[in-house]
Amino acid sequence: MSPTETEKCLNHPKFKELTRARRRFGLIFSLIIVVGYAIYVLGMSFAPAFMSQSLRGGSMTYGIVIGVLVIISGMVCSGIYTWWANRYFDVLSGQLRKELGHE
Amino acid sequence: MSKVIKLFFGSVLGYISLALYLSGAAHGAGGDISGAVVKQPLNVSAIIMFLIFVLATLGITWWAASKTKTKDDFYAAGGGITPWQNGTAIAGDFMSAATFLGITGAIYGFGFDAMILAVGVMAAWPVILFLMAERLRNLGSYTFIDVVSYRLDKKPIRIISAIGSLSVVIFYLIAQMVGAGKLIQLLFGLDYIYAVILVSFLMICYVSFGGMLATTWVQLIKAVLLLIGGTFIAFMVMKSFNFNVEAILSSAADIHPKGVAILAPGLWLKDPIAIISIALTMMFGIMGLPHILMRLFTVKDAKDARKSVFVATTLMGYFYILIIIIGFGAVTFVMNNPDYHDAAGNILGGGNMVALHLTQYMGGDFMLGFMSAVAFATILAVVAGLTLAGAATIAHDLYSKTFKKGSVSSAEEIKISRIATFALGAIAVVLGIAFEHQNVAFVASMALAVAASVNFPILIMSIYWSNMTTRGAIAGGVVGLILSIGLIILGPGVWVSVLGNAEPIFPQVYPTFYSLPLAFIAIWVFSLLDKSPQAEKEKALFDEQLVRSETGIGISGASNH
Repeated sequence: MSPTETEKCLNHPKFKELTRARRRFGLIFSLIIVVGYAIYVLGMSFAPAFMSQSLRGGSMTYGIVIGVLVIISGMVCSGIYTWWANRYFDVLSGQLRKELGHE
Repeated sequence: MSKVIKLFFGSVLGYISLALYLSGAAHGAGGDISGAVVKQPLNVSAIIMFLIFVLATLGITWWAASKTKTKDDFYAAGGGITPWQNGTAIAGDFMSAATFLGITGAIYGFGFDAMILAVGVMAAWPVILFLMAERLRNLGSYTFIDVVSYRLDKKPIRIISAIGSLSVVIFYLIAQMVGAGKLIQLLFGLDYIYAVILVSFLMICYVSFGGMLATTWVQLIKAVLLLIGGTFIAFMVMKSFNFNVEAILSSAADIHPKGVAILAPGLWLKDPIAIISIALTMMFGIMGLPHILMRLFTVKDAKDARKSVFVATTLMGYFYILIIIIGFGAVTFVMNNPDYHDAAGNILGGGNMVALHLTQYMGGDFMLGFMSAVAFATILAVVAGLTLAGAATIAHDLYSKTFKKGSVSSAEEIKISRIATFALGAIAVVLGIAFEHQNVAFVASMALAVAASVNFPILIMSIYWSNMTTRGAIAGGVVGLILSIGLIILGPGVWVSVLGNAEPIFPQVYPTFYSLPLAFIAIWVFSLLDKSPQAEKEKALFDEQLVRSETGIGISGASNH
């Protein structure tokens, strides 16, 4: 790919839209996972008393619930990201390639 | 070629029957002199099911061998794997016997603290999807090192990344081989040394003849079997408690000698640095595993890479939830059951056998045979993936791209890959035997720590930070490598357990709390200090890399499978 072609693509409004949207999307979802994981890990490290508390009087503790929620949110966020990317990013990226003459 | 294949397969089958015969004979004579692990009586249903698996996978290898003609076929199955197949195979590549047996055993013993081994995995995979999978597929052809070296000085960067990659592969192989030897000894009554040779032999067979296509199918079939087995056991546990999760936990707390402490933090990981270190190692180590990242190149484009990781994440999330149920459930059915303990009250076969004892309790000898065969298949699938990644690093990244500067023909590269596969298989056997009586837990932690401290920082910075230069990447790699391996050697895993010193010099099992941030700092500082003309050239190439990583535009015909 020549420098002028690169330049053309970088300045293309659809490229900007695509990269901005994907980056924002990727970062927001990554943050959800990282924050959830951090709550779990830091809770274990610095708030074991809270993590040991019973959720509603039974044996289920906050710690176990948070751990399982991190696992489930990983699956759910992956699903939403993939669903959205299949419908939005791929369309945008296809249009971009066509307009730049790569298809 | 086909003659060679026939000869090879003939000898494999001959070998298996010989090994089984010998082990049977040794057992019949009552000869077992090995230490901690006590061989089990020959488990006939397990052996029959395992033989069916081996025959089926060898048949697939035969078929795959006829389709493996170019290096593209060998490393990436020609890019012709569908997202569903690839996602299942990724799950199969990742969920090792250590996952199923080890995490179940750890939750059985320590309860809540051991859940971090499952939660850490599920923190890593979605982030691989959001930040890495598509861009990796767009930038590389066969290995993650292709991506790292995209705009940097090829020779030094490939060498340092290859050292990181091969260290991970070899450490992981040692851990798998020793685990495999002991497990097979336990499950099948096969001598350790035969078990290790058998695993290595089958793995060489899959990889050298069937390449990525055969490896993919071995991993895929094994993943399906493991998911079926896991679902069955977890379902039976749930059913025993009328599908009341709370009842599983309270029953476990009643029976476990530590009581309700198993539902809370503190039984296993004692201080915050230990917890954060293991959390970082799990999450970022997974994001730097070469054999996992390699699977992203087996699909046709970035979209399929994304779908594969989604499928893999979903399957693994489901499986880890099963494991948590199985681990806590095992306390109720195994802990007070005299059938699964010896006269001294120790659990038969050690903590790793908990999952299989529970299987036997829930499904009888048939299910035990099934899950034992699946555990063996699991080891084969994981070592095959590791060996293929190691062979690709040696033949593609080092031999072809670094030392021959890309002037190697496809046929020659495949030949080198096969030689590398044999060499890795031989190394695995030798190290497996050498480490038989060692505590190998540290080797597995080294694999993940090196992946987190060397491969991951270089890879993520090469994709996202335009100012990274070759000098910065190498500085980060060297810092990460020395700290991760050095601190493990000075830590309790080697300094105390292996070398026999009284006190560790470095108190933590995992060095990642220090090695990961310092590797990033080294990349950052040395890149910013690098004012060489080469550095300017590398930064200028970032725009082109960005366009290609975001859109796939610029993938040449050759690597666009």
